[in-house]
Amino acid sequence: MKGFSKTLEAVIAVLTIVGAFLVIFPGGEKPVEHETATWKLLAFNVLDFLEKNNTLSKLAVEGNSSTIEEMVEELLPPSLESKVVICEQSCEDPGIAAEKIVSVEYLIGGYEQRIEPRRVVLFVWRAE
Amino acid sequence: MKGQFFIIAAIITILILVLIKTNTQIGKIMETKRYVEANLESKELVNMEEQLEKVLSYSFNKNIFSNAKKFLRYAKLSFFGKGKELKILSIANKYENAVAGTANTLEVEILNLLGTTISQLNVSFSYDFTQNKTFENVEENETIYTTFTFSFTVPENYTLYVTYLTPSEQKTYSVRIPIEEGSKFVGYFDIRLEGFVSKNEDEMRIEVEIK
Repeated sequence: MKGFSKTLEAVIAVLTIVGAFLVIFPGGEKPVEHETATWKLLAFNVLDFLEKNNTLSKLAVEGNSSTIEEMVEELLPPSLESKVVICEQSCEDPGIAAEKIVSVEYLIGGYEQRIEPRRVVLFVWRAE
Repeated sequence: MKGQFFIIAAIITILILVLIKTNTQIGKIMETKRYVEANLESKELVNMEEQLEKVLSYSFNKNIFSNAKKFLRYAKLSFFGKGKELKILSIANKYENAVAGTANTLEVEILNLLGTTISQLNVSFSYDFTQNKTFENVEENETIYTTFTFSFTVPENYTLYVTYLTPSEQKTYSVRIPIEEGSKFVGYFDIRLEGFVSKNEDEMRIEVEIK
């Protein structure tokens, strides 16, 4: 009887370990969560795309952040919200309340008619 | 108690498995974030270089020296605001309305944004090495302006040699200056970005026809 209970406990222990292993290391594991890092890269690429299309510099120097925002929205996935702030010297606080938020800064030298440097800051967070 | 040993051993094993899993995940997250951040920092440097190129090409008709300085200082401050250090040595050269067979002037402006004082700066032009210039204690954010006289009969390439000495390094640049009739800007920029996770360096030469 004593031997039987020992065997039973050993079996329970082994089953527990196997069960825990399957829970901790499930097959087809999802990629590790690193979405905010990806948002940053995505945001920078969006601004870079707009600049390569010759639209960002002029709009930034003219202070037209709303048009940049509209263009950015079209390029970002719908699951993300965004806000654009154009800075000459110091940058205003956009006052966004979000659990996870990232920002990237894109440097602008100006455009043909106005050579005035600016920084375009793009804030990105998950849409509610 | 002897029988429960298996259960206790099982619990310890599970705890170890959980620890392994957690550490692996944190490691993966850190590695990915580091990779993405390094990628972003290298893109930021490219962004700065592309904009500098634009500023210079848009300045083909006026203020090319001052526009370059303004942009470089702005870029340095902008990176400083993000906690990153942008170090630059800018060597800007131009000649205007050069005519064959006459005496012409090469203007040279060197901006020190290396984040340290240059204790000695030597500038010489291969057209005539006797016109060699030496400057001492060039402070951070200070500009040195000098000129060299040259003449030519046919288009030719000369070289501007710039050597600087700081407490931590000594470096020499050779900047090719194509000489021909007309006006030309030749900029040489040593750019280094010290970010949070990476260090990126580049040297770029930009030539602009001035009108």
